[in-house]
Amino acid sequence: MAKTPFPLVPTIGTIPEGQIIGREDDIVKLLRLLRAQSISVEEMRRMGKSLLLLKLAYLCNKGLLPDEFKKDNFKAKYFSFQGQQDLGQLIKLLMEGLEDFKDWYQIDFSKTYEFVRGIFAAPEISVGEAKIHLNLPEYKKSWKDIFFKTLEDISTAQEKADGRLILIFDELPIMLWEWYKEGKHEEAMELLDILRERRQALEKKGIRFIYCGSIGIKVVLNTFRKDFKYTGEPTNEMVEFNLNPFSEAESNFLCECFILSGFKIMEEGKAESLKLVYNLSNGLPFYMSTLFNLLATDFNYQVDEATIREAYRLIINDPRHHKAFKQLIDRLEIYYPDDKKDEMIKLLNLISRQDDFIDEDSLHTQLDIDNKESLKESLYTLYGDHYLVRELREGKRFYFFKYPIFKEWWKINRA
Amino acid sequence: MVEDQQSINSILSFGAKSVSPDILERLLIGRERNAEYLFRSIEGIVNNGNNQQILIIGQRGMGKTHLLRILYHRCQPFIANKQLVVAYFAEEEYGVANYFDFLIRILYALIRWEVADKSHLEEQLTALQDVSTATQVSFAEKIIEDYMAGKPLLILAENFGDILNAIGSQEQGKLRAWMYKNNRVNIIATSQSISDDFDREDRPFYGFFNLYYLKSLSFKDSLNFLSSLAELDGRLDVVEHLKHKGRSQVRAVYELVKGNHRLLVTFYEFLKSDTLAKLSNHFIKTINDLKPYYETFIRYLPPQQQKIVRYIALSRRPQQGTSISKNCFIEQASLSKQLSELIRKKLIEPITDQTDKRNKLYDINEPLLRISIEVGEHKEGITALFVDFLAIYYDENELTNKILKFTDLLNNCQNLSEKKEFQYEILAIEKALKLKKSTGVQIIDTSTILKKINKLIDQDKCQEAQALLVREKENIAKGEYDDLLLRLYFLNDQFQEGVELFLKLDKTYIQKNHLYIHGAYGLFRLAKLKKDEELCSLSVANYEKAMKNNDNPEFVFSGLAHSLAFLADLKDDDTYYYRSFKLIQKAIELAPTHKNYLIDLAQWEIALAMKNKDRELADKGFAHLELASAYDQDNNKRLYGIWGGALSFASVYFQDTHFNIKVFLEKFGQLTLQQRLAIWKAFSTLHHFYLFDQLYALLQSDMQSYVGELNENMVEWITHILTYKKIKLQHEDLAFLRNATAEMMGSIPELRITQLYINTFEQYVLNGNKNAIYELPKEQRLFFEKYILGYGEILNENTVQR
Repeated sequence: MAKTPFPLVPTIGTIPEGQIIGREDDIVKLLRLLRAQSISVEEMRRMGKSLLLLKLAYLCNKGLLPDEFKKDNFKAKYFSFQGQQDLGQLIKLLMEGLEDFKDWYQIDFSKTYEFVRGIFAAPEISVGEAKIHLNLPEYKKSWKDIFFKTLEDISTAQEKADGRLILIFDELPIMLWEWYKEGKHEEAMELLDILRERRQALEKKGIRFIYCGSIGIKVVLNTFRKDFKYTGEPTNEMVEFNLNPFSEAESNFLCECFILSGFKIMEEGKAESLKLVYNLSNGLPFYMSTLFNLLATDFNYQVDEATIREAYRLIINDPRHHKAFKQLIDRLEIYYPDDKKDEMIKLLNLISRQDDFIDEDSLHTQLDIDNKESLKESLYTLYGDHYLVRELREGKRFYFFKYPIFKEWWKINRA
Repeated sequence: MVEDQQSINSILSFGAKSVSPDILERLLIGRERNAEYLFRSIEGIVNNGNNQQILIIGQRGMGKTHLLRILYHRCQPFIANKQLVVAYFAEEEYGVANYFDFLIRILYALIRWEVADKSHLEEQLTALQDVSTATQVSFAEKIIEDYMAGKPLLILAENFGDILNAIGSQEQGKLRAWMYKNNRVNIIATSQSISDDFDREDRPFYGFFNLYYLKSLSFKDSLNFLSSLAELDGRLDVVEHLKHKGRSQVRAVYELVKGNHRLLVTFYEFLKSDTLAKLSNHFIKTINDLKPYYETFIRYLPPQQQKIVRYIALSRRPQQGTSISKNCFIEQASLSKQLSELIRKKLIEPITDQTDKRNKLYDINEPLLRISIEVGEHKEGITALFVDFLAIYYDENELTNKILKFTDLLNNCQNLSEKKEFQYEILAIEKALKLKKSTGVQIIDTSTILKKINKLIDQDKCQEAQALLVREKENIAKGEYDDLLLRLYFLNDQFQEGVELFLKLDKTYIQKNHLYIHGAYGLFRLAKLKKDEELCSLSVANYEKAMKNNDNPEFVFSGLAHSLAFLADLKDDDTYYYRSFKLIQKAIELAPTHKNYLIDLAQWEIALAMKNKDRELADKGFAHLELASAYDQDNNKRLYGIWGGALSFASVYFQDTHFNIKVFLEKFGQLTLQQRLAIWKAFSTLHHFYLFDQLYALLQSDMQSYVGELNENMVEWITHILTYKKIKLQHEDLAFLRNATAEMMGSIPELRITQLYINTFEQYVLNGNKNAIYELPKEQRLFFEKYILGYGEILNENTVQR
């Protein structure tokens, strides 16, 4: 990251990888974990997961990592699985990304080409430049073999390079979920099996995986277990990594960059204003950007305590700005059965009205949910799904909203 | 000029894309800030290497195409300097079925607009046609990426919601993945509303775009827009007309089209042809021209939603949910879903029912949608509309003249069908005249409205002034409106609303219009109401800004002094008091005869003196009160209320010394009976025996003049004295009170009970006879125990604090 602020017009979409701000500490933590194992990153949407992973890949591949990682020789390849409709498309996507590997490791893919050519019986084939057609149904049975073969080639080259190669599979769970919705669960389970079968062997050769998604891979696995008696444990021994909000220093840096893009702020009181932005947005970059966008559009680029508070009020109270809150409801409606959803909504309603953590027993007595086990299960899901945080006090579990901004919105608009 | 004329014709036929950019820039009325904001975002892409994804949302005809065209035009230097690649999509990109189609549209757009690269791109497109289907996507991506050659790509797309809807969720996922992979792809797109594709958690573009809502044009913007249109059209007569009588006609048009660009253009034609005799024909033609356009609004709605829209439209006034449910035969349970869908599509708008705020009323969002539905229903419908329109469009004299003119034409007309038309015209105008007389529909121009508002303020009818201002919002420039509303909020003690408005205002505007002082005052009043230190500090900060801004110094000094004095109380920090003394003295220097400043100063000095037992400061305070009494003798309630109160409190805080009460008694005695009456009432809330004792003689004489007026206050005053705990009443004090009650008892029978309390008080408190309270009947005993003996409790909290 550039140490000097640079002009950045607030955005909530993509950011060029060299301009992605913050997350250095998260990247260090991730890489330390990746020395030993693969990782699963789960967070709600619009929390900055993809940008974190893009930045990770950028720093790895540009040799910009801190000194402590020099010896590890990390390389990373980012894939977004969003929209891939079947295993064929997915393998094609992976193989199209092979060019980078060729450059990094001087991999001789000739064996793979031979192998693929054997399957396709084609006189000319070029895997890296996407001239083969892998998603023809007649070759479906061979996809798995091609995939294995490709990964094997990569891992062998990787082993020789004595480094670590991180394969980032962004939006893997949502892709599997889409397949499940379209009745392609067998293919989904097949992919999970491929990943499960070879992961450990590949890891021994220095390959690391990052599975990333806005819905937890757990949600997908639980559904497969329930609906199809799926018994695989494809994420065993993977560490779950939680994305934290920005630190105050990161938040201030982001604000400084926004301000340089043309906002008006008085030097006097600036520190207080930036602190206010950090506090109100809970350090979540999405809300910081939304706040600055509003300051631009509704407050003529003026940044001071009053305009910040007013913009925040709009975010919480004006339905036009409720997009990133609506997911709190949508997620429950989309990924859980009705009875569970209703139970979780009741819990969130009650918790949103509390000033402090509330324990399981109090929740049970104050809600018309008879089955305490079910209530505990719902609380655990909400905790695992990043709605709530949990504290143990004298052996009892107490719960509260993870982010005050979500609590505020839920209380005002839903409870 | 020829080109201009062609362009104008294009504008008039809604073809913003074919109008020359210069003309579009000139017609950017009311949308300058939008264009500025969006272009700044593009500058960020080019100059800072940022990315932007923005979705502009606005109804049909709100100027979205116009804005994109302007942006495309303003991008030209960047394109020419090879700093940016722009793919400017066609307005309606039909047949985009998947992600690949979307990529192809990018290529088409480049071919369409980038003349220099056209043949190269066409060759690439031909090559793409020969690639196998399965690899076409990556090939197309590669063509685009090669063409970008490291430069950022900006896609300008209209109706983007429709495009996403057509390509479906999974293909959207691919587009999103491409945008992450090739991270210099930017989109600035438009959409009529927010569809699920932007709004649902499981959609790829959920929360991905900065949403940017276009607002309707204000009345003033609409007027300027039409004037610019007339100027471009070379119709100086219309420009002139719009400066005078035309304003009220635009108002009538505005009532119908609510600041919609495209509809304003339609009615521009109507304004031009005002001289035509057969106004009704023209009106009906205009409406009929618009009908197909509006029909598309409802054609594709589900039948239940069509029913609802039709019912509300024909009702011609907002309807309650229950009534919609009943008349459309839709169950309440499914109605709410349909209503929220219609609100989301911006076809209806919810309004809070003023008679019962828990209820909602629903109205058609766009007046012309209603009109189009009515037109389709029956002839009487359009007549009614035409009558309404005429009543707004013309004043009484004009309507009367028109009747005369048409009667004349009718009398001289031989053609039967023309005769019928004239009869229809006359009938409609007569109805409009009647309507105008019965409802008082009238149009007044801005200056008349402002004069009326100011007159109401002068008459102290600030509530009425505010209501008028809000009603006429559309007729008043935004700056002027905000300024007046801010002042009226404060005049009407709506400090919360006033402060909220103030904080929203642009700083440059505040500075220019000297509004810091008003905002600071509102913040101070709100701080006092809420006892809020933060608000009070904000008030101080704004007064300081007002001072730098050279706002009225006298008011700044006094206002800032007040805020500081209150802050001194809140923070318990005397240094703020000393600052406030200095400031109020500056205000006194500027307005030496303004006694309120002297009273303010005295009040703070005495308060601080009591707190610090500072006799010297207290003397200064009383001297300032004495000085204040030298000025005008009107409105003395505040002076004497404070003076009397201060003397009472001083008798407690400085028990060993006495203050000179003579001057006070002398001056107080010089007031008129009427003036003293209000002050007696204020004094009755104090509980110091001292003041009662000192003023009793005068009080007694005033009581005789105002029989009955002060009865309640006397009972209250003596009871207050008994409740006071800081000074222990002595036997002689009680004897004095007993005598006083005895003397007044003839005219105030309630004092009998008060006298009983005095006796019981003496027995119980001074003589230690605890059984004395049992001499009182139960309810009096309870009152005595609770209020007179109660620790610190008082008779009536509100009264005493007043």
